Amino acid sequence: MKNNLRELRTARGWSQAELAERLSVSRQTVNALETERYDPSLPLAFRISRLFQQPIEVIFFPEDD
Amino acid sequence: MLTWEKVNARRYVTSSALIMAAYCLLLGGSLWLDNNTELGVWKYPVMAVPMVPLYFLWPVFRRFMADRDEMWQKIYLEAMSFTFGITLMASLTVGLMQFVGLRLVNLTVLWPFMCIVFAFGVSMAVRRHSR
Repeated sequence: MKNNLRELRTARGWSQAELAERLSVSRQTVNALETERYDPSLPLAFRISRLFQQPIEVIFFPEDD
Repeated sequence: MLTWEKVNARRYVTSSALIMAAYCLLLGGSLWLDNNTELGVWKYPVMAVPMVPLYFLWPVFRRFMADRDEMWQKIYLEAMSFTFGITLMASLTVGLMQFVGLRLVNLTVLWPFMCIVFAFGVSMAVRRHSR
């Protein structure tokens, strides 16, 4: 699964640690999400979607899209 | 700066250290009693007494797991599955070798063995999920 989490985060000027704090996850998890080494659960994907006020499918999309 | 993760980590380390200290103290006591007194049939429960504080490691580990985020829970779960599989294979292998005369292995080696395999499993899972 690909995502544009890094772009959304940097556009807001947040560090990985700040985003982690807002999502109540560890900084390592944010890093793993951004580097596409970890796919979030649906509840976490919804939290990310709510935080950035973007639909889930705009933030996360399949590799072939 | 102390983050909540560091504060929590300190709490788990403190709890685990206290439990291990109690274990070592009771183990020393049990060994002293076994060497210096005639315990008879009571030697078995006396040698099992040091295990009592170790049972408290379970709720500490459960709380530790509950406080992790979903990726870390997945990492620890993968490491536990790995440990389970390796321990199963190793114990079966040693058991089969004992059929043909391998010296009986003391079961107390199982715990450090599992800890080492678990640590290896965690490092493998971490490498897979983060960098």
